[in-house]
Amino acid sequence: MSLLKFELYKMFFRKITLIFIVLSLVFIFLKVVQDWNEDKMPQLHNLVQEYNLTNGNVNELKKFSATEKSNLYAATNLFYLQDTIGEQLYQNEGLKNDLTQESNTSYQYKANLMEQKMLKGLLVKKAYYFNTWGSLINNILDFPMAVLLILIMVSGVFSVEYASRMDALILSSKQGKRQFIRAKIVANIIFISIVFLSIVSLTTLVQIFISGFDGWNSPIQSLLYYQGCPFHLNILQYYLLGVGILLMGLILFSMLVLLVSTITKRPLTSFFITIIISFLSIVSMPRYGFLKEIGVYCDFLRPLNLFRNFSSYNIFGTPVLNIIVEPIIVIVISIAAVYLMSRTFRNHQVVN
Amino acid sequence: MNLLKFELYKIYSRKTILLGITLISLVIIVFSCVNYYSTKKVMNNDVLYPGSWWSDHSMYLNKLSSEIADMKSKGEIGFEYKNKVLEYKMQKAIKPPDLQSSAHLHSYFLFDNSVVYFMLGIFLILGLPPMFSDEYSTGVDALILSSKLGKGTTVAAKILATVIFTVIAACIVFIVHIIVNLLIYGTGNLSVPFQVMSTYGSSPYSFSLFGYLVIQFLTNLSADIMFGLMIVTVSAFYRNVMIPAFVGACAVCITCYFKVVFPLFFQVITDMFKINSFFPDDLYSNFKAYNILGKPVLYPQISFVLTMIYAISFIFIIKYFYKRHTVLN
Repeated sequence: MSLLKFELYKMFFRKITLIFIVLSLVFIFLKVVQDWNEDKMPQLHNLVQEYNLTNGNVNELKKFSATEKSNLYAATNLFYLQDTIGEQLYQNEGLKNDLTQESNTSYQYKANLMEQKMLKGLLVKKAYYFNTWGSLINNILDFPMAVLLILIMVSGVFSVEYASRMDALILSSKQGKRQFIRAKIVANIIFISIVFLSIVSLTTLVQIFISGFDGWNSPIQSLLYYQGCPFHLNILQYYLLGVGILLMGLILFSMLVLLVSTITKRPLTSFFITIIISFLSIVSMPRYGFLKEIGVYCDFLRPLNLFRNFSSYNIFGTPVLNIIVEPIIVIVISIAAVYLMSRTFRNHQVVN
Repeated sequence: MNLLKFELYKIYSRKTILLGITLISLVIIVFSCVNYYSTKKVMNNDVLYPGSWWSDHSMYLNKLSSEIADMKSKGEIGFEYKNKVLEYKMQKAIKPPDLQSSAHLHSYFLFDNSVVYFMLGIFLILGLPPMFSDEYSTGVDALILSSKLGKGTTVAAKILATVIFTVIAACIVFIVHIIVNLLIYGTGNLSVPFQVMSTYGSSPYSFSLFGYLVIQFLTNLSADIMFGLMIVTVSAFYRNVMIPAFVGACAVCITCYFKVVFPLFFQVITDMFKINSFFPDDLYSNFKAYNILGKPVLYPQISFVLTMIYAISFIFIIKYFYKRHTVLN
């Protein structure tokens, strides 16, 4: 217990943590101020109501220029509603065609049938106004730079001890290696949860305080990138779910990061490797061929990938949703990482 | 001279640097291959001709000249007018392209370098933070301060080593990127004006594809040198290696973030925050000039001057701080 306290103390009272907190506060402020467009928002709200009453006969929509429209994409689905409807109809037609071509017993047929069932009744026909939630999802879930920085913060947990020769002291203390590793892992989980949740809740509060609570119950399919999402969720549910998934992905991925830091001797090396693997999995893991299976982590660090389209895995001929299969893969990989970590640390010896 | 040799030896003798170069080359190779395979079907033998750009260009010239005449007749000869005239002059100066010449569509991959820039930034973070911090934390600074070479010489050697390391790193990463892409796609025709790529369609600068490649490299290099000096400055303040590294990582992330997310409202701030010379595509894709004492000055020039001012001020900060550095035991 006292070990855990020391570890937490070490993690929270670093200059890096302070720098991170100050920077993210500045950024939250800048982002929120930038997204909030005070003159336009009440007007947009009225436009949306008018659009729904008159079935789309709103002349004022033509007054918006292309750049203005693209800046307001996070606030309402007015400007791309027609495209959304077209795309969804096209998708349904394609599914029907595919069903007639495939044979009754193939995996592809079953998957298509499942997708058709899930998509039934999810067509978006109304305009919605969801400024708060659109920009929150945009800032926190779709482009998680904070995630990268948090992973960097925990990157040197073991190698800092090696570099400062503290490992000799730790190994000669009366507490065992196992307790030490357990304290490190638990402290890591607590640290990540506190930092991440405080940033998320602060951003949410500031955003709600500035731009209100409207639009929380609009369907997720009205958001820009989520037209093909097969789940029956509203925006608030998706936001909470997404934050949970991101937190889980962060904690599980940090086990890989800790594994790297037990292997490397210098903090800078583990820092570098962490940046490379997390950059690959967050920003641009190529989803191609066999790389798709390796890139499961990237679904957890970007919930957009998990919810964007219907995707299923072929398990003995029956389609199983990705949201059920992928957590299992990720948890298995992380448990393996924890095992390897404790193994490497148990074999660790001090050389002078 | 001797000191410089030691500093460079200290940087390059670390195994981490070798690991970094290998990993970065691997990432670049994997990315290029994935780009190639995922777009193979789309761009079978697609070719870009300068024809459509050139007709748009002459229409745009007509529009500009009529606007200028309009403004002159109304008597508005302020900054806006001068701005328009400058743009007209620059657009007019572009020589007519050889309409038969063509470039392969792959030039997009040669010029879309954000991943390469990101990796380069990370590589600098790998190499530079120990510059001062390692010596503080291992106690070597006491030795250095008591040697017969002065503090000025030491700092000069360190700064030179930083610049040399940055230049070499940038060259290595770029050469790997270019060689991999040329191996995959073949050399093609690089003498076509770079406006054939639709991103740069309205650019007023008259570069060929090859010329733009060089300009892009040099612009990025200036930003890199500044970035390297920034990391070394932070490292002169702290004993802990992780602090300059983390500050550098924040700077790189914020740079990406700014580029992606802050298009309108904070335009002026981001423009002045050196950031666009790190990812040069925004710098050259449009005509943009700022009002300096009533005269329009081109954005790339301002950006370069600002980058250099930052770099020089970092050098002065390092010198000032290190001259006052004392050893506590």
